[in-house]
Amino acid sequence: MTDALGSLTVVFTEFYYFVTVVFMFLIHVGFCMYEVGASRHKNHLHTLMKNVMIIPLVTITFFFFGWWIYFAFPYGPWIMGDIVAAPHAVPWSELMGPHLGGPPVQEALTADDTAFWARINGVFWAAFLLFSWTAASVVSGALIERVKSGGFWILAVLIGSVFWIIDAAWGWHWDGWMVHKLGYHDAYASGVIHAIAGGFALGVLLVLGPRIGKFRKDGTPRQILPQNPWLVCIGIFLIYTGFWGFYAACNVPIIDFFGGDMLDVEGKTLFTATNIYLAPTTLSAITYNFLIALSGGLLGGYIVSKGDPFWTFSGGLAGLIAASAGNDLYHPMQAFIVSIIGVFIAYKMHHWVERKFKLDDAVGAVAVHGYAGFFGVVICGFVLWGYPSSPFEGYAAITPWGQFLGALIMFFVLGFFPGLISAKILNAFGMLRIPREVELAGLDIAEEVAMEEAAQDLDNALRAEEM
Amino acid sequence: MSTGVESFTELDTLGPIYPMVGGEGILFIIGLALWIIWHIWQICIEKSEHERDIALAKKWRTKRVHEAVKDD
Repeated sequence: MTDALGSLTVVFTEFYYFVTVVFMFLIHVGFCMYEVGASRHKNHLHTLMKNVMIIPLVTITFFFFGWWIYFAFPYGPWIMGDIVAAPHAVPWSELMGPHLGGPPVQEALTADDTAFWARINGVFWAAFLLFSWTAASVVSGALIERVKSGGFWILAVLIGSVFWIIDAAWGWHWDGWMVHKLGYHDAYASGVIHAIAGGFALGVLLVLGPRIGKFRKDGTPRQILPQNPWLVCIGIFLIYTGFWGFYAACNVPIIDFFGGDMLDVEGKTLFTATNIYLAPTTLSAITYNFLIALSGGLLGGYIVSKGDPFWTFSGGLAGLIAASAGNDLYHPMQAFIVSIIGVFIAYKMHHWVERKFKLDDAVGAVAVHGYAGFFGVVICGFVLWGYPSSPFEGYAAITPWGQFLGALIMFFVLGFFPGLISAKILNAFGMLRIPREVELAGLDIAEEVAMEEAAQDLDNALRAEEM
Repeated sequence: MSTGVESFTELDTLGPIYPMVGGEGILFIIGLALWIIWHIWQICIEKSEHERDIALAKKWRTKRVHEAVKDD
């Protein structure tokens, strides 16, 4: 921090990630509104608590081990190499607390480590943490009204602080083995957040089972209507708002592309924003593509659902998710086409899976995130075929087969199967599903009875005074 | 096969980086067509919604009239 340009770059980067964290908070406000609105009134308080407690649980576990996983696991481990040392990310590191960048106290760190990470570690950790909350919140919506809170919170820690961050180390890290070997490209996390969370939710849903009354005796689904459709839609609107922070946080705001940390070309300097793979992009590019993909999703969602508000709003999100894998590079009209196709696929697959497999996904999370995310990763392989996945030498280029294999890893290997196995284990211990009597009476029965008794008590007291 | 950029190393010489540079006109026409098709499709959807709503309103009014008569 001794030269002005270097200092400005560091402080700008610090501030940039800080602001994205604030924006991403809105995603979680939105998720709370969305889930509470989608649930029936008799369950709404427990639904709110189930979602909001993701925040402290994923935060502390991401501090304990999630952040370390990101830096330690890019090679598998044991796929392309061993566990990578990450002394700045272990929970007992001096860099996991306030630090001014001076020489380290701990032996595991070097002066270069402290100089680099002191101002960046906290804000970068926080940006990734907000992605972790998002992964867990996606799963939360699918399971409303019948999952035990305690069981769900264990699942939230698993998806939020273990499995998604493994997938990030593999496919959302400039040195991840999936980028090296498959040319995996997923700039705004179609696969690394959305497909994996959707796949995980699908695995859990297969064990959890549908809500009581969701399916008739002949197997046809009943609609279980949201208590407040308006709240659901405004919740999704807030998720769109927070998503801007998500997109910005997926980039590195400013780096000297030809500098020593990058291509190291003598005599050349060029400052640019990059994606997470350190390949160049611009905020302008993602601003175009975010808005156009959202528009394609909304327009497509309206048509496919014939103007249903819930599915139109969800379509906006699905379209955006479908285009996200390649939104750093797509032309806006390419993002538009991809987003429209993504929504159609998500909507049709949701209803087909519901009918065929009697799957009760209360808010369409598996479709909007899982199927749209999977499609997004795959289509990126065609539209960006032959593009470099990295600015560095020796990486595979982006290809349809690399992307398809990447999508399978995200959705199934790190999403679906861990979700299924975790849910089976929880179920075996009676920790997954609430008792039938509680589901019929409503999770908030104790609160509702307490409110009535309090009201009655007050009423009696007032009558006694009158007399 | 490549749909666009093959290397980022000469970043200072790169201009448009989206796939299939030169196809912007076609993309514009496709986008324009999708937009117009959307309007046509939406108008048809809304027309059939209103027809359904009219039928429901008639049934509902009739039901209300029956209930009003019963109350009398």
